[in-house]
Amino acid sequence: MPGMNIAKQISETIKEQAPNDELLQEFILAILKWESSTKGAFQFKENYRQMIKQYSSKWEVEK
Amino acid sequence: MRIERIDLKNYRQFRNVCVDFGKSAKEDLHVIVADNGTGKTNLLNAINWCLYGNEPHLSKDSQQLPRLNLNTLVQSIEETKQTVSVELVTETEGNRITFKRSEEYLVHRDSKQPVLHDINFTVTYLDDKKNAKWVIDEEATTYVGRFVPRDLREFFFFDGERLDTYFKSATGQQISNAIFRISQIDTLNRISERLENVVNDLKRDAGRRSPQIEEMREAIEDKEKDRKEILDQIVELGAQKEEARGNIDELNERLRNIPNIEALQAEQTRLRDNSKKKEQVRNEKVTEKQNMLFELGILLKLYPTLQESSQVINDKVTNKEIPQTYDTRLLDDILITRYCICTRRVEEGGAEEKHIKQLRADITSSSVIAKELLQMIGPIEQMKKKISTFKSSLERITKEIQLYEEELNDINLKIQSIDSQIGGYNVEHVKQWYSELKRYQHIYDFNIERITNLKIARERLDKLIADLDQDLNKGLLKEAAFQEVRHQITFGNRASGVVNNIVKIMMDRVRKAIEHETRDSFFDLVWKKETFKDVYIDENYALHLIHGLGYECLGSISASERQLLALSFVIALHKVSGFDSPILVDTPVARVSNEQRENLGKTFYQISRNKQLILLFLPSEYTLEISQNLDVCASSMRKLRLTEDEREIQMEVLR
Repeated sequence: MPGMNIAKQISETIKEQAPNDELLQEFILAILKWESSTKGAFQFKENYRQMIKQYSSKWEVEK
Repeated sequence: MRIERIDLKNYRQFRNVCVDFGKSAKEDLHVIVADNGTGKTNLLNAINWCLYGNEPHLSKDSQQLPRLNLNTLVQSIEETKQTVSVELVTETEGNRITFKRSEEYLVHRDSKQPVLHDINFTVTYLDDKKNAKWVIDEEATTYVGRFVPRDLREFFFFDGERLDTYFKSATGQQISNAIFRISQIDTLNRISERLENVVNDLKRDAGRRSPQIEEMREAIEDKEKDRKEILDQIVELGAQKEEARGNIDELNERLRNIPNIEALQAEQTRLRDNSKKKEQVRNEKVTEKQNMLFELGILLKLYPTLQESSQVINDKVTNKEIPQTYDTRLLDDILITRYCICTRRVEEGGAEEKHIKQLRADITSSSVIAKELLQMIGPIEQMKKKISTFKSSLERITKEIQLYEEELNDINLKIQSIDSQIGGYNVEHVKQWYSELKRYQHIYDFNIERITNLKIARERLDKLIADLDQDLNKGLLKEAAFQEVRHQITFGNRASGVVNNIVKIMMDRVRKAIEHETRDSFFDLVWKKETFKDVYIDENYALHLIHGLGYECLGSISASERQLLALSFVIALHKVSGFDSPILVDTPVARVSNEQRENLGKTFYQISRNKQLILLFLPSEYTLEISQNLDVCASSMRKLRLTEDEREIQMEVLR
């Protein structure tokens, strides 16, 4: 798929920047996907809060 | 992605035209030649309209006209529906994807303007099981973004003028924008901003339930506002710094071959002073020569007399007539003793005394004359010598004068040379440029210092905000009710921090990747292999081209080399972004001299071996220098011309 170079690089950089924190990696990728697929200008607060709530509930601070 | 075919129906002058871009074995180069106003730019517009729904290259005349072909419009006798459509058939990694945009118009018999009735945008593709699928409208628009994102279209379809001016000014901004877009930095920045926004909302929620928490939150918010102001200032100063750097580069380029006029003017003043001194000495010598000639003129007139006098005196000396040897003491004794040697008495007042006294006086007078004659010999000989040395003295002083003349001539030549060096320039302008260069250098240095200080201030604020966040965190920890929100805030902050780091890393990585690819492409394509040494993109995203001798030469390269560099950069963007789309250039060599067109023609040929290249030429551009390279390798060649009523385009397929 065209344009995959950058997406792949971003994905790799996320892993580098949040090593051993798969949940945080997943969260950022999910947000990125949501932002890329929709303009979401008006619903972002609700969506972000919901995603933060969802991912943080399973997340451990020590990571 | 490559374009296989463009099918245009009722689109402006293209009433029913299909342009097939079949590829030959090696090259993927397509040539279309057309006069101005004969559809070249509208072909570019048609692609843009099909993919993005707008026409960025529309001329003012065309803006006034309906998109529907004029003949279709006027020939619609009854009230009827007419459709404008552009279909773009593409091929990506073996898959055919068709983009089709159409507009349906209601055409009234007596109305000049058609009424838009319906718009459709469809993307058709084959799924994994090779079944035909299609998406429409918004979904189709999203689909386009996967192949040629709208934000990046300027790097795929452009006109030659843009290619020529690509790196003429604000290169840092251009490259930064390109990197920003292809790196999805805008999306990442938006995520970071939104995460901060939502985390602040979470803190505000907690603050509503506890005045103490609210106080801490407000303190953080205040500091964050300060930080935002600092960041804005850094951005603004960075832009000013970049602008100053651009101006410095431009002025340096402008002044590169201009001599140091101030130094030359100082040298000229020194030479003029020296010339005045030499001229003075030369004039003194000329006067001396004139005096010499005057004096010798007199001497030459006297020469026979001098010669004769000298002869007379010398003869007298030879004859021992002079000096005289009379001894007057005997006469004196006679006059004192009054007796002659013969014992005869000499009476006082007598005839003998008178005779002796007369004799005595005669002897004295004769001695004085003889003495004077003898004394004259020296000056006469000196004068004679002067006459005899006249030639050599005259030669000496003439030579001296000549030497001074030569020196003065040399000095004048140097002054004239400086005049000619300075002469071609507007001295006041050059001085002004130097003054501007100094001013921009000051702005540049000053802004660097200010940015550094602001960054230090920002780091202090970052630490302060982190400390305040920690206090807030402790505050939230004290109450069990805040545990969940505290956890969410920590998570959101962590995510925001990671996203911010990704932005920095991606910008840097993409910059380096584009730099690498641009360098590779440029040195692969450039015809002067030894002239250039390096291409790099600095941390401020400014592109630098380094001459083989080590100096920056971006501002002094030819139009064709500039276009080559821009093409190399575009190819690099395609590679790094992964959006490997065709390059379509309108009037690609209009600004390039005939001599350089041949080189650019070869470059197009080379590029087309790895990438689809569609070139839209004016007939005046398609000169022998271009055609001798492209006629052989072009996969397709077409000529566009208008019909007699100038409302339709006819396409002649030459290959």
